[in-house]
Amino acid sequence: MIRRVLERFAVSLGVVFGAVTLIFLVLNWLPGDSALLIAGEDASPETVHQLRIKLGTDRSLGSQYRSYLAGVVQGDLGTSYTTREPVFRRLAAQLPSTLALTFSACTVAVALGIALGVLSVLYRGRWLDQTIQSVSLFIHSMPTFWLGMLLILVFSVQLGWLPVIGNGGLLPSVLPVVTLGIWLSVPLQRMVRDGMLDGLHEPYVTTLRAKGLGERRIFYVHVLRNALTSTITLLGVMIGESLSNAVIIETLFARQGIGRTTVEAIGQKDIPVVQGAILLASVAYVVVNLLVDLSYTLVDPRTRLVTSKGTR
Amino acid sequence: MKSAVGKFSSVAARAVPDVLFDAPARPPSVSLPPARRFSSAPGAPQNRPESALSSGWSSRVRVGDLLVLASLLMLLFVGICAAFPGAIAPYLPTDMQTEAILGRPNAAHWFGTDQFGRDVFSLVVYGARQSVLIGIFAVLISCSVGVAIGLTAGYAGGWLDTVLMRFIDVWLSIPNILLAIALSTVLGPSLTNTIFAISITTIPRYARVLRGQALSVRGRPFIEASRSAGASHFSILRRHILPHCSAQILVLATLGVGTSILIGSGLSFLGLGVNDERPDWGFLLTQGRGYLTVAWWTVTFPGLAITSLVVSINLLGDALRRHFDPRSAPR
Repeated sequence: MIRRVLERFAVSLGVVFGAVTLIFLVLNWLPGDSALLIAGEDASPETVHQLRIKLGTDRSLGSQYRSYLAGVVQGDLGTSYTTREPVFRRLAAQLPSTLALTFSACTVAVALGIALGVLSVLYRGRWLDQTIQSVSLFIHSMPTFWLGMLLILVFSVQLGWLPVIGNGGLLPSVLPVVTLGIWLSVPLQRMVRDGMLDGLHEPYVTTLRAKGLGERRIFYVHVLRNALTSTITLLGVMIGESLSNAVIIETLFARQGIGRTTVEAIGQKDIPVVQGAILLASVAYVVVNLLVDLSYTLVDPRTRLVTSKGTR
Repeated sequence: MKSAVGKFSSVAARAVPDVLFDAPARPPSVSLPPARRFSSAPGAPQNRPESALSSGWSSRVRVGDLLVLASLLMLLFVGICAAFPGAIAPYLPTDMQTEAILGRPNAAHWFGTDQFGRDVFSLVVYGARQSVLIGIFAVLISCSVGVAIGLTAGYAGGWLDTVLMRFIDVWLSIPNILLAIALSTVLGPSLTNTIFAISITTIPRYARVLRGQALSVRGRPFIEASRSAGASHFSILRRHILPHCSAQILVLATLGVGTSILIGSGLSFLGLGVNDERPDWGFLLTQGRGYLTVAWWTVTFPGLAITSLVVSINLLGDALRRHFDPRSAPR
């Protein structure tokens, strides 16, 4: 077991390395010239050339990649083109806000998703199930920022309960967290419900019944647990989605955070900041999915039997 | 076959060891009526009358059919808007009426007017084309590539699985909007590039989920049985694993059309991936955001357009799933 964990850990490190490379390659195809942008349109060609040397963008791609990689290993993500601030420090200042948003939203989403999914199965075909399904369908068909706008219209403009801007303190964070949480809960809810409905028709349920196991136990211990396999996969994938939507939510609510910093940096072609931000998001994603992969073995014994030949 | 039975009982034994000891003492309840299986939810009355259940189904089927019809009409309407916006829209999207800036919805302007005095209804009609094209083409590309990668990896296992999944892991580890932002900035703002960026970013989700499905299916007894009956790997993938996952693929692809349209609108909202001349629902929302507190109609109607289109697609997808997978019908 410990060996398996270590193996997965090594693989995750490899993924982070791959991500660094991929992000670097994609971003350094960016056609815009940062030096020209920083120096301004009317700067003389010499000034622009000097700046290019200063920024290091005059070097070959391979040489830039090597020095970037060397920096990343030492925890140095480069220097911002625009503010001349170390990227790591700039992002670290924004990190708590984004982490708080994403983590709270995911907690809301998981709680809502599993509760509504189980309720839907319990009241399958009746009004509660149908209401949950209709509302879910509607919500997940909305762009997150439109859902946020509607919530702003109702709770800020009409009722005046919550501020429009989502910065600082608990109260301004309510709308961003709720927007993201509600939106993310829908796929989880659907997956729990579908998985459980499929599970109830599986032969193993008949087997368990034939053995005289109680319905409640079959439902919550076996069927729910089996449905959670695909739900956990989805949750892992959705961490990326929640980080992505955090970018949009932060922009909508003018909230401090990595996402908003990234969007600003993309506008300014501030490549080191963009690179650092995406790298940070990737690391977060890899860590979460490492945990998801390890939890497979706990939730679905079938995958354990197939993947580790030793126990067969 | 013997080993498969062994697997199953060992699963049960690990989860609930006491069952094995209880089992012989109790009479096996083999003569359960079929309805018993469907009303298996705990908390529900155990002997619920059959009629209540079946009437629930039939009314749901009728509502479902109506919803499918409504979605088809909606899709048809959006399709017409996308193909011939001039035939539907009362004004041109460039038509600025300076005397009617930020006007409330009225008879002349059903959805009101925006900050330039443009008719919001006409803008919404002209904006349909972008979303329709993005939804269709992004999913066509990403779903076919993703499913192929996922099923191959999950079924093949071994080094191929490792290589493909490590690649997908790297791909997936970059959050989709961030990757799409980077890609569409690199490629420049055009519809083709937006579609390309969205397809690239949505491939991993198909691959990942389908791989999990294939992995969990391939150990099942019926795969072992067809293998021992001499079926080739390709034939097992195509005739057993793919159909076994078809409901999953359909659900994913359906949600995928919606997701692609939503990512597209997100990119537009952030000011990427649109040409300024072409009206686009996401971009209309960005513009309307500044007038949120004074003119609710500038954000409400474009958002409603996106939502109704995506709702219709999702409803239709559910109907397709019921059609292709009768097992899931009474939901």
